[in-house]
Amino acid sequence: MTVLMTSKLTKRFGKFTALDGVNMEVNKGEVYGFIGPNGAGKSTTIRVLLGILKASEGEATIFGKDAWNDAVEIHKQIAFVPGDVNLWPNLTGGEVIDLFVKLRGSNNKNRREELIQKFDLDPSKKCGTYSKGNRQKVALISAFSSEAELYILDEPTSGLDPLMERIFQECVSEAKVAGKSVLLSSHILSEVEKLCDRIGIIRQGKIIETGTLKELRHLTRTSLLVETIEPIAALNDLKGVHDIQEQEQALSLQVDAEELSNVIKHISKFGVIKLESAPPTLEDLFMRHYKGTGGTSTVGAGGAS
Amino acid sequence: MPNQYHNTGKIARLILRQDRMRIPLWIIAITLVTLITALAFLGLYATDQERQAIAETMNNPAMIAMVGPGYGLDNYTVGAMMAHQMLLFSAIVVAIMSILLVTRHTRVDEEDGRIEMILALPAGRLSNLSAVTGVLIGTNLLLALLVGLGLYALAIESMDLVGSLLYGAALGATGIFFAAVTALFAQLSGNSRGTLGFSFMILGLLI
Repeated sequence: MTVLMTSKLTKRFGKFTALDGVNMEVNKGEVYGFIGPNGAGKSTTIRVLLGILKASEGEATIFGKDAWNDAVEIHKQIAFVPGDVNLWPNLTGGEVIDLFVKLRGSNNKNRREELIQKFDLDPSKKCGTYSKGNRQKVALISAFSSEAELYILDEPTSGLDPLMERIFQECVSEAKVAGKSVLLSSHILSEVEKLCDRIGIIRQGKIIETGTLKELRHLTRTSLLVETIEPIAALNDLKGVHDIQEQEQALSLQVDAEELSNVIKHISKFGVIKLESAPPTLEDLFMRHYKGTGGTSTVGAGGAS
Repeated sequence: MPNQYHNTGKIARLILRQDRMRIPLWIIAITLVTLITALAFLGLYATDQERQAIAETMNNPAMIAMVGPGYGLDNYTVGAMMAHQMLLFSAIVVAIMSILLVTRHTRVDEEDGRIEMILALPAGRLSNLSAVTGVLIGTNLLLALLVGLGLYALAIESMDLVGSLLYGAALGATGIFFAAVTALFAQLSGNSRGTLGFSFMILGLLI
């Protein structure tokens, strides 16, 4: 069953086209990863879906209702977490959570207490004193304690520490098990990889790639930096090896995830001195995707964060 | 569409909760200053002669530039003095209150992304604006009543109930007018400073 659908969604701000015919579909019980570089149109798409912006052309429907005209009805069953949560500085975190619950009308008090414990939030402090991560927690707690059918999360983990990030991932998994749908916008590829069933990649207002993780597997290569005693022979003939580049005494290459063990087996014959591996950053993936070959990832220098 | 106003009441309560110190402070300050000024006039110009003397000085260009052309100068009672010298200044303060409060809850909240949080919940698109307008109308009505009844309660001979309430109502109406002007500019201007600028410009032009 389709929960969320957009067809040929276009949004123009004056002469600037922010969205250029976005087609997207999120099914029930599915976690849809929405990835793309900054300014690609992720947040604009989400604002249109939330009925905050009106689409110039095309249509967006959630639960079969029009995202603009039936916004209030739709919002009773969705929960939204923005990437940059701004709250009322002189209200406490608990008061804000209560406010959201009151506006939404539904409430699950036990769940809320449980989440406050889990996310380790002090709800008696004023929002003005919260750090960015703590403000993010307030929005996450109120979202996941609601009885929403669809969660729209716009880079929800920005500012969260790794521990909280994991708790967030648990929450998403729980929601999925409960048959809820999630639209997760992010540029943290590892998070998307871990959570999402299907992924849509947006760039310059267009969805350029969409499919299951498996279908997009070509996008997830591991970068290796190896230094061996003997030069590695016949590396080019191996399946799943890309972008071989010589760097000082080492060799950098990129390997398809499923071929990794074969490649390592091959390399180990030549006496490995040093081996570094890092998943390519989303940026690298985009670079490759657009240049066709390209891809100048420097292994070890950062990696996916 | 009735849905446009969904949950206006709850948002109005949110605004009152945020401003539970701010709004009372404004109202109390304006009311007190008005009442104290009335008492001060009473003390300053105790007799008819003194009041007529000051009425004469009102008839020169400098004073007209300050407080406007005099009215009620023939019988310059404390009531007339209030209406002549105080009403304009108080009205400006009330207008400033309205402009600041409305901007704070419309354009500033929009800029900081708080409106987005509200709009993502089941709240109508116009609910915030209507809640702000409602709160400001309430604030100004309360101010009008307090000032009006307060002046009457001073039991100054020249200020009867009707006159006192009229004085209060003039302030309240000014406040509501500028709340509306600001609400309009909050929709038209690109940022909160623009809203403040345009609203104060209108204030400057009209007064």
